[in-house]
Amino acid sequence: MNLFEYEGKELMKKYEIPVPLSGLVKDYEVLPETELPFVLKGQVDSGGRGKAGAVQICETEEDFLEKAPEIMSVKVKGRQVVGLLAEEMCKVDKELYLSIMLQGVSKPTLIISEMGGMNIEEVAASDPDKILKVEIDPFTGLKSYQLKMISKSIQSVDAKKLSTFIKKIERMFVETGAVLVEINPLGVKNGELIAMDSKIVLDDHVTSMAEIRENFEERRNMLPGYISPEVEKTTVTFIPLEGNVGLISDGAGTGMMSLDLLYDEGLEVSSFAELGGMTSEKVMYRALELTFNNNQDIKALLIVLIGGFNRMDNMAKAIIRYVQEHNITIPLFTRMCGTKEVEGTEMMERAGIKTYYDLTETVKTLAASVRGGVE
Amino acid sequence: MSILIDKKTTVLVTGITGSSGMLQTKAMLDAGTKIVAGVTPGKAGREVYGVPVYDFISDAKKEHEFDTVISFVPPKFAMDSCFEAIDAGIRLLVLTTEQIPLQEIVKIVGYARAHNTIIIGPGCAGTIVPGMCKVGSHPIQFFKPGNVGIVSKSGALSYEIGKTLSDNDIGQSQVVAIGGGPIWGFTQKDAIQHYEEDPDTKIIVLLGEIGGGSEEVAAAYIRKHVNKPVVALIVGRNAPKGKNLGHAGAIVTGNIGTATTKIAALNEAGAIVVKSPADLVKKIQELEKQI
Repeated sequence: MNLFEYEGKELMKKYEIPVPLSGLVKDYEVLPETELPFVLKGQVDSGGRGKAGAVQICETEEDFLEKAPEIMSVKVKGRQVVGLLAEEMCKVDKELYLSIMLQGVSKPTLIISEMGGMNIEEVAASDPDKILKVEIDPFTGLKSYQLKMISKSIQSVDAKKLSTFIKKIERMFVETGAVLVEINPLGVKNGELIAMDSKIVLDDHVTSMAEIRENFEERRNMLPGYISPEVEKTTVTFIPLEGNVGLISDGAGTGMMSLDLLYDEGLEVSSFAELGGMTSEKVMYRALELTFNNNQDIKALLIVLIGGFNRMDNMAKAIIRYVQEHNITIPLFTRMCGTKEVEGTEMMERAGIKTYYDLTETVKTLAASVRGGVE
Repeated sequence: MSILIDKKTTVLVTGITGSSGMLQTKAMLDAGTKIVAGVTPGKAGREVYGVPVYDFISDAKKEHEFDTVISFVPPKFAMDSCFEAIDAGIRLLVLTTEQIPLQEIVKIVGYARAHNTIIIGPGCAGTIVPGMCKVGSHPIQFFKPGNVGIVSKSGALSYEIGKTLSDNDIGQSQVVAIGGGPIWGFTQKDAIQHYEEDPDTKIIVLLGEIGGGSEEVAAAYIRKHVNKPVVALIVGRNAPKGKNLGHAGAIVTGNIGTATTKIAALNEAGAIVVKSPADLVKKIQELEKQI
């Protein structure tokens, strides 16, 4: 779960990490309680807000009334601004960068730099020596010598104050089971550290945080621009795409390979559906439902099944039921093999739905059919 | 001799009384795997297909000898169960459990390394030596003995390619599915290193996926240390950017983890990169003639 800035700052407050005073704007026609002038910050799940015009200073009430709807209409890298945070103006002496991350690395890694306020990837490319990376051993946490190394690299802040601040961030990272805690910029004001921004990514699999995640999700509904995502209750991974051939598979790897094979035939996929985990008739039926609901005009559907513990008779039941209930007339290309293969293919045959055994052949036959050749 | 497991391998199953644990235990026994004991806390005294169940691994250790553990423990209890297995001094741990929190995976992998336990997974299908035994969920009907060693992230893709090769009369020395990532114990590079040293393996097949940088690491290893032919297939070439295609690790962000960089790295390392299972078969048939 990617937290919005205001949610991240709420978590930070619990860990006694200093953040500027701020309030979520509930009504865009009423001046918020935050003292003028303030910074009006668009809440959006993307970096690059400032450049996109989603962060603006409000000097007066008129300013606010004009800028609030303006920021709400902004899209940052394709993502819609969903809410506004009014935050006190906080003039700082210096801006640093600090994060602990577990994305694209095999161990939690602390990254700190004197060059705050910029995109850290750009800093890494232009001034790699201005960045310090420290791996955190999960069994010991940050060690004293590592904290000393960090302090040495950040001369502008008192070593003890910096260590105390970093220990709080580390504690929050560990206790929330996060995969990313990023503060950019991390302000230095009269020698004190203050988190000017917050980007936190929580791990959806940490059960002890489930209640907190649900609570955040529930309160997001108060944001005027927020559309709550549809949560798929089954194990199906479903990704809508732009093409006109449906794709369902019972494995992520085989799904991706089938997607490639279809593209190599010059075809584009309307959606990617992967059944996931222990599949069942119900899950297969749901994948069909998602595929056809997403695009009613698909030209053909490729179903790639390789039964390990996925039973082909159950898959056949779901496919036959869906086709009959919804009067599906487009051609289905079902590759079926493995557990209960004979039962499954016989059921399909009786229902008048052809099945295939070899994946390459299945894809080639589908491609010929879509191109207007013979099935 | 094959890598990781052979006919002398003795196995304990954790989470043996759960639905997957029971199903897979039966399938492994049918495949010839020597399963000597199982563990589910609170279920001591029961039997699963003739395999005695204990509360703790240490209890089972008093009665049986085993060097390998396969875990079907639910995510909430997986880390503790792994620690218990590693503390018992086993050589190999196959962790099938999915949805373990990332910070816990880091701990599991770190603890295993510190205690010299090889850990395959998490979220993996495990490994099979066709015609001999398996520690994992590979359906035996898709595989046949031979001299192609396969390493795959995806379980289903390793079944698919195993089946395609077997249908074309190309047997396998061993198949390992290490899980969809993004963090692994046993890596693609580790598997390639083992296959290079394994006398039964003549050709190595690497089944990679978009996301992360593990194929690049494998490529760097191939370039320096591997003399056997490596044929690689990278899936997800046409996957949309920024979308997660069923595997947590299979996501392209910015320019990191694209198929293009992986294919380039593998080509440069001297691996043969193919685009489809049909091409994979053709290449292996050509290589077999040369060997």
